[in-house]
Amino acid sequence: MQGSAANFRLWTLEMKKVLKIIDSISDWSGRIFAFLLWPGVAVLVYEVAARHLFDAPTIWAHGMTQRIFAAYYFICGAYISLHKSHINMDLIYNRFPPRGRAVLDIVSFLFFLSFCGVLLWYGSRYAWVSLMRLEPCNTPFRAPLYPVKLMIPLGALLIILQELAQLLRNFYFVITGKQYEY
Amino acid sequence: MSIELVTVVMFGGLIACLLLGIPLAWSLGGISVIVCFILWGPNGFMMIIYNTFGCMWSIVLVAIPLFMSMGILLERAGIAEALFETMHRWSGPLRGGIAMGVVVICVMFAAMTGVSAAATLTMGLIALPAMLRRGYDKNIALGSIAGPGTLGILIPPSIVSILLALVGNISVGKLFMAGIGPGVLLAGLFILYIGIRGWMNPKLMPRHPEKFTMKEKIVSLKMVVLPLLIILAVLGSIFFGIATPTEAGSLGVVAVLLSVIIHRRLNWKLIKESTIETFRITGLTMWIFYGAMCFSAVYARAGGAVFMSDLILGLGMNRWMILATMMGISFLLGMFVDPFAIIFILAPICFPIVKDLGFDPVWFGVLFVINMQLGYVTPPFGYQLFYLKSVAPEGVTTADIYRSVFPFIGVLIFGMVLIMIFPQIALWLPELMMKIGE
Repeated sequence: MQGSAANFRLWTLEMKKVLKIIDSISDWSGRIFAFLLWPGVAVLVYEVAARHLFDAPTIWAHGMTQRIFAAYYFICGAYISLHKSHINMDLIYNRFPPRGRAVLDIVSFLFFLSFCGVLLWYGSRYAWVSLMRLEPCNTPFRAPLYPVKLMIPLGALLIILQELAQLLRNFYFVITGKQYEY
Repeated sequence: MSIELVTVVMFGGLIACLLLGIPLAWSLGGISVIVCFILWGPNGFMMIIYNTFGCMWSIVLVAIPLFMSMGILLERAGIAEALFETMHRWSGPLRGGIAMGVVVICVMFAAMTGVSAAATLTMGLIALPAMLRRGYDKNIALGSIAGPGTLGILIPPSIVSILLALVGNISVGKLFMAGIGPGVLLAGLFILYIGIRGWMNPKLMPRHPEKFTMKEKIVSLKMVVLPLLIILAVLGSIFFGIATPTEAGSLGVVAVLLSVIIHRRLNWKLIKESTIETFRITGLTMWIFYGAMCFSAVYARAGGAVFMSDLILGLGMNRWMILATMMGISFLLGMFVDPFAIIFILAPICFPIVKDLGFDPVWFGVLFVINMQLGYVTPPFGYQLFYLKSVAPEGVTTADIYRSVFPFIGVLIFGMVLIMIFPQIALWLPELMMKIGE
């Protein structure tokens, strides 16, 4: 019994390091990808100026914008999960004791995983097919589409990692009754 | 599974999940995947991927981060303080002048940003303490921020309108232009309401004693120039066909950035914070959007849209009754559910019915958006109430805020009925835009 308790403590120590790494991946991917906003704005403004001031509309500006923002949206999932910003209705949720809330979070994980699991698995196949064909987009730009499609499994992977980290913390709390320390 | 059972499972499941506090994005996405699997097995899953990809690849949706960042930058840009000072100097001896000025500022903010948060938060920080200090009645002070603040989602640019246009399959530009007339009408009604209350009971809003000379008043007008330029950059470029709504968003961001520079507020901290805040808010909206797109796609493919429209048309009511029923349902849902979720759930069902009934879908879109305004401000679940609570000074309770909004809800409903009776209030501007375009 003593041995297993010691093992548990050792295990949580090791886990803490892993969870910390996951947290910082989510945080930094967010902080970096957030700045994609500005190149996106620049490209669009350039397009308007080119079209009206120089009468020379580009064929690449909209395609470029779509690519930039596809990455922007998809990568941010993990950052939002880290900061627990996903919108929920907390009228009833907040009435539960902390341990009850942790149990609800575990239930919530099942819904999350069924959605993001599909995004990861089928999204990978979708991106792989596109990569093998070097499929171009259907605008005159004709640039490859696979980088956009790759964002689906990549974003799903990051967010699943982050939610898994959160799940482990919730399990720790439900089992021990102690808040997981960061 | 029969379509009746699918309907019960999907919507019942959604409500149960929401009540348990499961995030909206995971409720919508998870239920779609589960129902998809039950109906069609793993082969159905590609549908989830196609719909998600459709969202990421949409150039129309790019407008969301752009208008979000305009709002977030404006909150920090110092424009609200400047505008408030101008309104203060001009409202002078008018009874209820500050509250009326707040309505005007809300309209200007609404025309600069795509959400209601920027106006509500800044006015809650600046105008609310000012009104309470001068002895304004709490109900008037709170309500005149929470109510008019919602104009942000009706007056273009508006993120709610973008999503609604996309889901209801109407033109974003037209819906934008159709929101201007009703927005101005509602603002006028708010001002009228404040004026009448002040006239009936002068104790509710004492006049402020400060007097300003004509010169001070004229000088303060320069603060209005920048906001007007921002509005012109965004709405003018859409109206005259210079830019698509998405491109107009990028012009707007640049215009706001310029006014931040002119107000000498530009620094690294502001840029970093607003960039990351934009990312966070856009992201959580988009993830709800992915889930909701999958949800409505799965439901439509299971035959849900046809089922619902047969069910409603089969009731044998006249078309105005059906319209009123749809409005009633979205109002009731708005009291409890996030407006974005309502759009994804109801709009795919409502718009085909509305077209079948021979109503103008753009006009219906405007009514729908006003209903979402009501959703924003009606207790118990309304973003306006949360925003206002988060910035309200000590001594203002949630109950105070709840109580204050009811007359303003009444004004909104009155305005909505006017627009139902006189569709031209909404439709003249989009029709004019089409004429100019030709």
